[in-house]
Amino acid sequence: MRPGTVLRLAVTGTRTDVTRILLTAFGAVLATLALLSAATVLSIPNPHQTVSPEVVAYAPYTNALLRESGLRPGLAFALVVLTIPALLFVGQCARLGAPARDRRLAAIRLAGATPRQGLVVAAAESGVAMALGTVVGLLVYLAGRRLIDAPNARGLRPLPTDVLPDWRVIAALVIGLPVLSALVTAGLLHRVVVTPLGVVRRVRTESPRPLPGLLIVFGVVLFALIAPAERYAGRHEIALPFWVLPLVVFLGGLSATIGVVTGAGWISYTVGRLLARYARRPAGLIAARRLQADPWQGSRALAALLAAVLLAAGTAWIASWYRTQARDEVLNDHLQHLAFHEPDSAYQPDPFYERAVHLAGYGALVAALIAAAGLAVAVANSVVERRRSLASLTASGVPRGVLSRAIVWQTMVVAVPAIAVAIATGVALSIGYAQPTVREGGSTYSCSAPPENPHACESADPESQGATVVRVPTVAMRVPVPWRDLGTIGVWGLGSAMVTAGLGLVFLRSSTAPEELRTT
Amino acid sequence: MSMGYVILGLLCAGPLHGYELKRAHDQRMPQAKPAAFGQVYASLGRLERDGLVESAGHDQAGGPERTPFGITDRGRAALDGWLDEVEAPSPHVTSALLTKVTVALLTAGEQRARDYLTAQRRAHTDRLREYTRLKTEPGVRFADLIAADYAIAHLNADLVWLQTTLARVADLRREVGQ
Amino acid sequence: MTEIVYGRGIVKSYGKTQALRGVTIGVAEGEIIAVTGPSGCGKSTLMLCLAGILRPDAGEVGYRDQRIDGWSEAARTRLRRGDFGVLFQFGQLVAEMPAAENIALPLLLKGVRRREARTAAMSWLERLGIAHLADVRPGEMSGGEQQRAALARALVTEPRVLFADEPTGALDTLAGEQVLGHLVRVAREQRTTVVLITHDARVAGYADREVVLRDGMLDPSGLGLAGAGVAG
Repeated sequence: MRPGTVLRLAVTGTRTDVTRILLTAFGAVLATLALLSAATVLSIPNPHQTVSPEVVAYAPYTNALLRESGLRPGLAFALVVLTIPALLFVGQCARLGAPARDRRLAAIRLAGATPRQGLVVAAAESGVAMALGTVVGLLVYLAGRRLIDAPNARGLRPLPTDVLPDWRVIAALVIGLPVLSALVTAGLLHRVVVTPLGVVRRVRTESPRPLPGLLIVFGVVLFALIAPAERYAGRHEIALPFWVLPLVVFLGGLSATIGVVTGAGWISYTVGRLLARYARRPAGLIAARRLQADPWQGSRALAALLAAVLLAAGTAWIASWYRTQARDEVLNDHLQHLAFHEPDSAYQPDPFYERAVHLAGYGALVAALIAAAGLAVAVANSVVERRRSLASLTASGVPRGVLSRAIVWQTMVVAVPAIAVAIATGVALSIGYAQPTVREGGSTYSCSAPPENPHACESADPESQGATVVRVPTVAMRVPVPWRDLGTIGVWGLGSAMVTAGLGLVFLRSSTAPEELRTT
Repeated sequence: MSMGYVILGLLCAGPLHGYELKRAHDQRMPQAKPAAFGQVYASLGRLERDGLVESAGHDQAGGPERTPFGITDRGRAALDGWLDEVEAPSPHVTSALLTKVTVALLTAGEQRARDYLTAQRRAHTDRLREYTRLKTEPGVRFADLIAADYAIAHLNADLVWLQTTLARVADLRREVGQ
Repeated sequence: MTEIVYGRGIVKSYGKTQALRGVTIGVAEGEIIAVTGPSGCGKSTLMLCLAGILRPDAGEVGYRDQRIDGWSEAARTRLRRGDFGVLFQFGQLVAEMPAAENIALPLLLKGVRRREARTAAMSWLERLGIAHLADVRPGEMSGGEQQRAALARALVTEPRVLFADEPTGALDTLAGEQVLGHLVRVAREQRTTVVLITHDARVAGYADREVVLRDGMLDPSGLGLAGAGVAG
């Protein structure tokens, strides 16, 4: 096959496929922007050229998160983590028009394409859409850094619009994302056998039980290793390469998120089995059988939402941690002044923490918006895909109300436990990064040497030499679990699941019209 | 018989004498046996007697077979009437095939009937194939095409019936055997 | 005449249902053979096995001097692409592509240049009398036109054997006759061997020879009585 042929076959399709390509590209634009921003943040040179006396050794930005070199990796990986819901959204869009695409792939196989060629065409389909997105993302990024480049009177910028990542990094992102998505598609299609007679999915009714749990554990362990690794590096004065932390966060976060998402498949199956046994009404039974027949439908539909919930729960914990940290600092400061008999300085912690938490909140909001879009796409698609069987059910006298209730059951019965798992995982991940106990102080002390031994304070044990030592005690505080925030997140998550189930009901009305019986 | 109407139809294009009529019949009428001269003249005679055709002047050269005939207005009316008439949709319920199979099943037993039907089926399919070949020959005439279609449709009906009958016999025996 | 395609003792099951219970069949080069029988007799399965689309559970399938049943899917696909053509009842055209591209597709998959493939496709469209439909998608064509386009696609690689499974099953009599007329004419011109699967004696009439299948076995009487389980 010539490359031209592959390209032609990859962009062949109907209006649904155009929608799929556009939505995929949109997700890719978001992911590209997030990753390019992260790369930009990490490319800020340090120490930066002196701009004005106050900002010596600081980068010339108004925001502390950008100014201080130690905080930038944190910001960068927050941006990297944002790509996870964006990529999941892309994954959901790939399901759009799947039956038509399956038929098309089978038809291409029938025309004489080898299994490999079929795989190449399928992989190219997603790669082309992603490439469109990354190129547009790059253009938006390049245009954006020009447009919002606004240094203030002191030459400080709100955003690092004066820095451009290495061109190799940009190239790797813009080319890497489509290649990666093509490879992932090819990998996923290994489960799918495209024969000339149609697409046979190797049936996955039984959920691979231990795997989702293992993925979650792997992610949590990876995060838990961050703090010890940093302590170790600090003790031995090893400078970890800047990319280690974002990579660990990305891999750990992705692994745990995939674990939660695939876990939803297992939840679907199990709940479906229980419901099938105990349901008394047709709505529950229909929902149960649908859950059993395709347990992955639920995880596909909820994927981006679960990712956003996980992200938000993690952020909530970190916010709680920051607040505790701030209180701890204030208390420690107070004790220090008390110990040295100085008047209280009315110490205020850096408002930067508050701002960082707000920023993370915005991040979670963006993630949630992407998630809602993904969920809407998935639910609408699942109803439209099944329109023929739904229409025939209605035609044979099943009231639409029963089908509506079945759709709601089907969504909620999976959403409730899956969201709970997502929240727990989010908190567990961030605990690895932000320990549940904050400690401050303990190292400061004042030492007054007795007149007979003026060098007492320089010895290893000044007290035995007769010196008076006043120590400031270590202040340890437990970070409280932010129940209220987590509760809010859960309610919001369930709320958006409800809303999208409602959206499914809207489509149900048009999909159960008797005319649908004629479409094949 | 319909020979009279065929002659009326052929004469619609213009007067023809007996020999020309026979040739036109053999050429235009699909898959029919060639018409005998006697039959043509006998039919012509009846038609002339009934006033449906009339002689259209004498040919100088010849005798009676050189006399051209033309269709009269009454002849046209008769032809129209015949064409308007709906043929009774009569299935050939008294066909020899049905009779033979019935007798074979009733008296000679199933094996005998099956042997007969195997041979009969072969004959039918061979004939059907012949007609199909005729149809797919390059430059096939339209009249032959529709005649072949007609024959194929009837042969196919027989074959379908043969198959169904045997399936029914087998079913019947299975029920009795149980 | 030598056998171009053969099957020996082919057995094929779907789950617990045995579709073929040891079928032996040989097809001579240049011959048009009809495989008939009632629905469910296994005739489609037999064709799919002979065409190398399905792999039999037991038995041999051969093409010329090679045994192909053990070949990999990719190798069998390449054989199909080069030497075999396949025509189904419906649904084999890529719905999203216009007729000319659909017909050019097998050539494109072989690596032929786009322009050459298009030229070849156009000449086939002309031969089958549907040149005016070159840029029309299958969904906008009549059933007969779709089947003619599918026939063109099956023939564009100039296969040695054409497998056709109820090629007129979804068509009315006249449209079906037109498709079959084209099929037989082109097959005779190109000396293509044709394996024609049908339940219809009228379609089988286009063949030189007919074999009848019943309950997954050959039925020499053709009457559907030889199968086991019928005899008392």
